[in-house]
Amino acid sequence: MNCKKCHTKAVIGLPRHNAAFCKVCFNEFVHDQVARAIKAERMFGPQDRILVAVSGGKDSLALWDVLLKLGYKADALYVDLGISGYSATSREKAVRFADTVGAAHKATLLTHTVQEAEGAGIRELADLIHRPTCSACGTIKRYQFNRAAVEHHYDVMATGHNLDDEAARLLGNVLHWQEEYLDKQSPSLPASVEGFAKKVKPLYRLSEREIAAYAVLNRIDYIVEECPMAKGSKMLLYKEVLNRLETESPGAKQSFYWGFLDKQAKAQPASASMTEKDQASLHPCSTCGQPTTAEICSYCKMMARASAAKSS
Amino acid sequence: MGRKSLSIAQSLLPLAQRSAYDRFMQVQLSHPERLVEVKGPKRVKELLRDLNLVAEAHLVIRRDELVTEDELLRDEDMVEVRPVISGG
Repeated sequence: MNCKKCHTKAVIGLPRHNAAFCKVCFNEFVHDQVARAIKAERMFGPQDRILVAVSGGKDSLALWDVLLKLGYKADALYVDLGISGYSATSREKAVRFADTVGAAHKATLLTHTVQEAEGAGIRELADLIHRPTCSACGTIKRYQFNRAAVEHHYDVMATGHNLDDEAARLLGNVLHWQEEYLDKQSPSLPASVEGFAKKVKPLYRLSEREIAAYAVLNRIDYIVEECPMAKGSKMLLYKEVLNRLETESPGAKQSFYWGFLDKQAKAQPASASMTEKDQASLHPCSTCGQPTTAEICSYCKMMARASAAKSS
Repeated sequence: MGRKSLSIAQSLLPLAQRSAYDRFMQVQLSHPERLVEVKGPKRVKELLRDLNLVAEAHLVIRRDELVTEDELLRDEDMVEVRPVISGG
C-alpha cells in the first residue's frame, strides 16, 4: 500500500477517506484535520491561551503535541485521581511529555491531586457517597478543569475527545432519547456565563485509531492500559458496535456525528441557544461560586456528603 | 507477561504436522496482556481476522513500526496488536 500523496510506502490505511499515508503525509493530515476543526468551530486564535486537559492517554497527549506544533500557546492540567496502580503511571506519562515536548515549546503542566485536596482518592470518595466511580470522576474532572481554566485566566479549555468518543456519546443519547444532552455535544461550547470557561474538542474530526497511530508514529509515550474503572462501561460497548459498522461501511462514524452537527447547526446556532439557556438557568454555587442550576453545585454537594460519611 | 500455549498456531497447524524446527511469529496482545504464536506468512488483515479483532479498533506494530493491512508478516516477526479504544 502506497501513500496517496507522495507514493512512498504507506504506514496507515484510512478506509473512510479512501486513502493511505506515509508518516510525513499522515502527520500533515492530522495537523490539517485539527486546524480545520479549530477554524470551522471558531475554537481559538493564535493569541489565545489554551489549557489542555491531559490524562497521560493517547488522545490528550496527542492533542497537546499537535497544538504546540501548530504554534498555539497551550499549557496542560493533569488531575491525579488516586487510582492505585493506574494514576501513578498515567501521571508519569503526562509529566514526561511535559518535561520533553512541553518544555521545548515553553509550555507548563499544572497538576491537581484529588487525594491531597479532598483527603481521599476517587474510589474511596465514590464509595463514601454511593455513586459509580466513573460518575464521581466526571464531576471532579469537569469541576477542576473549569476551576483551573478560570482561576489561571485561560481563554479556552481543550479536551482530547475524538470522533469515536462523540459518535458513541451521540449513540447513547439517541438510544435513550436524552434530547436535553444533545446541545452539549457541540465541539465548541461557549463561556456562556461568568465562571464557565469556553470548552473545545479539536480532535472531533479524527478517529481513535488515527490518534493512536499519530502517537505511535511520533513516539508519544502514553498509557496503553485501560483505566480499571472503565471495564464494562456502556461507552466501550457503543464504540465496539460503531467500529463493527465502520468496518463494514467506512465513514459510518463521521457521517453519524458530523451529520448530527450539520443538522444541529441548521436548526439553530448552538452557542446562541446554549448561552440563552445557561444564562436563564445558572447562578453561582453558594459554597464555591462556580455556576450551577441548584443552590449548591454537584461538586460541593459530593464533597459535603463524603465528608459527612467519613466523620459518621 | 503470561505466555499462552500455542492456541492460535495449533488451530492453523495441528501439532502432528509441526517439526521441531518450525518457527512462529510472536504476537503480543492486550486486555489481558499475553503472547501468542501464529504461523506465517500471513497478511495483517488475515492475522486480525484469525484473532477475531476489528481493524478499526486496533493498530498492528512490527518492531516499533506501524504496518498497513496488506503487509505480509513472517514467522521471524515480533508483532504487537495494540487496541486503540478507551472507555473514557
